[in-house]
Amino acid sequence: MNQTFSSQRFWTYFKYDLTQMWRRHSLAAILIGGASAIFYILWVMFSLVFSQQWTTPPIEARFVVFIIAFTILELYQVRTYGYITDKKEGSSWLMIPASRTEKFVSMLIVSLIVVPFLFIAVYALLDGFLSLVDPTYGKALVAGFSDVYAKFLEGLAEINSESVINLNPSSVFIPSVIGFFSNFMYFLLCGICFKRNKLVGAIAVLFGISTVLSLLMGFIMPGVFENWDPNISEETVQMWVRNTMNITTAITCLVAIGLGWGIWHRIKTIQH
Amino acid sequence: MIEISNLGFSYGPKPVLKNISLKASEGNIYGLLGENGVGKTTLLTLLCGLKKPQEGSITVDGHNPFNREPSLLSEQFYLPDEVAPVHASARNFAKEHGVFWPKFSLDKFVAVLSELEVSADQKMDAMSAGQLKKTWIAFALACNAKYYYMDEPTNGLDIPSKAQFRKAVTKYTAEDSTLIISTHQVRDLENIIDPIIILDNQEVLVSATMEEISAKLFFDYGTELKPGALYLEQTPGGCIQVYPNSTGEESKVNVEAFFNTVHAHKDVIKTMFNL
Repeated sequence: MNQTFSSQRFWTYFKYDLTQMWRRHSLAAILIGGASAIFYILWVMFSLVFSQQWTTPPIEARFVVFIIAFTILELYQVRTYGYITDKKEGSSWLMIPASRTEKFVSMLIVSLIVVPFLFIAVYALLDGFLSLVDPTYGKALVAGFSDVYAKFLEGLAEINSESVINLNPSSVFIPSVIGFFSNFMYFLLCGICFKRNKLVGAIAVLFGISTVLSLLMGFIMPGVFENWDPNISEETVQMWVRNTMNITTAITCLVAIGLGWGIWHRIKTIQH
Repeated sequence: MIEISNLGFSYGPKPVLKNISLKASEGNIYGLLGENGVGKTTLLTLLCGLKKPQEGSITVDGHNPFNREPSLLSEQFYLPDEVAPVHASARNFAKEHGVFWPKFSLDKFVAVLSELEVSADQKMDAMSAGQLKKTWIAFALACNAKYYYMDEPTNGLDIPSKAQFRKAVTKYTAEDSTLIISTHQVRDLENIIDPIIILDNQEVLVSATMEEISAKLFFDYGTELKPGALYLEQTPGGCIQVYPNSTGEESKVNVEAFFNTVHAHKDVIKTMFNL
């Protein structure tokens, strides 16, 4: 028997994991995924009550609601697998005959792929449906996002044409995507590390890390700009921007790898 | 075969288990006895791999349980004292959870559950503590595991259920299965446990079969008080006396009286059982 990874056993465990996820978090999933519909109903209801008019939320407000719902989803990662720190439920989970690797991979797939993409799919479908049935609702959020992305590309092209800085979309997009996964992994890790007050703990640690980094930057940056030459050459600026982007990507990747290792290590060493 | 060698474990500075060495062979139901806080649960959680030994080692069929390898996990079942409620019917829970144990039988689960008088279609999170415990017991037995670690399995069970539990354990476990059952309610399991392991203050006081105990100690249930008894307990209509078996005469071991004898004469018993 392969003790590290068996595709058949993994598939059995993954299906089990998905079933358990749905069983535990279906209500939260419906509430977060259905935020657009809930917001729409509340908006229409309030407008009917207070102004006796049928008005629907503007796209800007819907965009903000999406961001809030997505942030809640990110924070909710502290709960998705938080039960493994519970003595009763965690013991039962640890004793399931699947390898640590299988449990780890399943956890990452569920948290980083299934949950966010299911949320986006449900959210987009509901929003699209509202856009279809109510002409006053305006265009679907997906179309709004396409516009935002097109504007982002236009803006980037403008920066590239007007300055010496040459940015390609992937150099901005890749760290953002990795950062998005890192955020999910960070809250997931905190969820399986803290036994109580998981969210408060996660935010407190984040606050602590931010404070330390800010202090470090406060010490480092004056030194960097001390000998700043205003007549810096175009090549130097380009090199500086390129290096900054590369360093940012490298740091983002390292953070993601570190978080992944943290989750793996916690699964490996957790005791009850 | 379970082998424990010089095992040590502590919570912070307080050692719970120290230099424990034991062997548990297949096909026995071990009774793990001891007062509160002597480390019975800790030992069971170390055996099943929920905790990592801080000193010494444990091997189960040559595997280190803390590695939590699927092959070993699928051969064992740990039943904790407090079990988790699940938001599903007992049948669905068993169907979903049982797939990981290759020898799991849903029919057996339903049969054991029926003997324990719990409906398989009842939601587990709506069950009483006793019903929930019975569901987990039924699930454990339906897994047809080779090694069972049961922590106070009769806690929370009513009087008829305790008898049903004894019946189910003897009826539904394979002959080569090894069960280690911790309890401080020895009367609940008196007729099924053999050998007995008694833990006390970080060490093993006794690990002996009923035959060995009976060969070394005599349990007298008569009314006549005899000098030299290691332990004496008045009972309605008589008394239980325990004294060294100098004649080789056989007697029925009273586990509770044995436990109290061990506690009253630790050094004598340790010498007697060569520990």
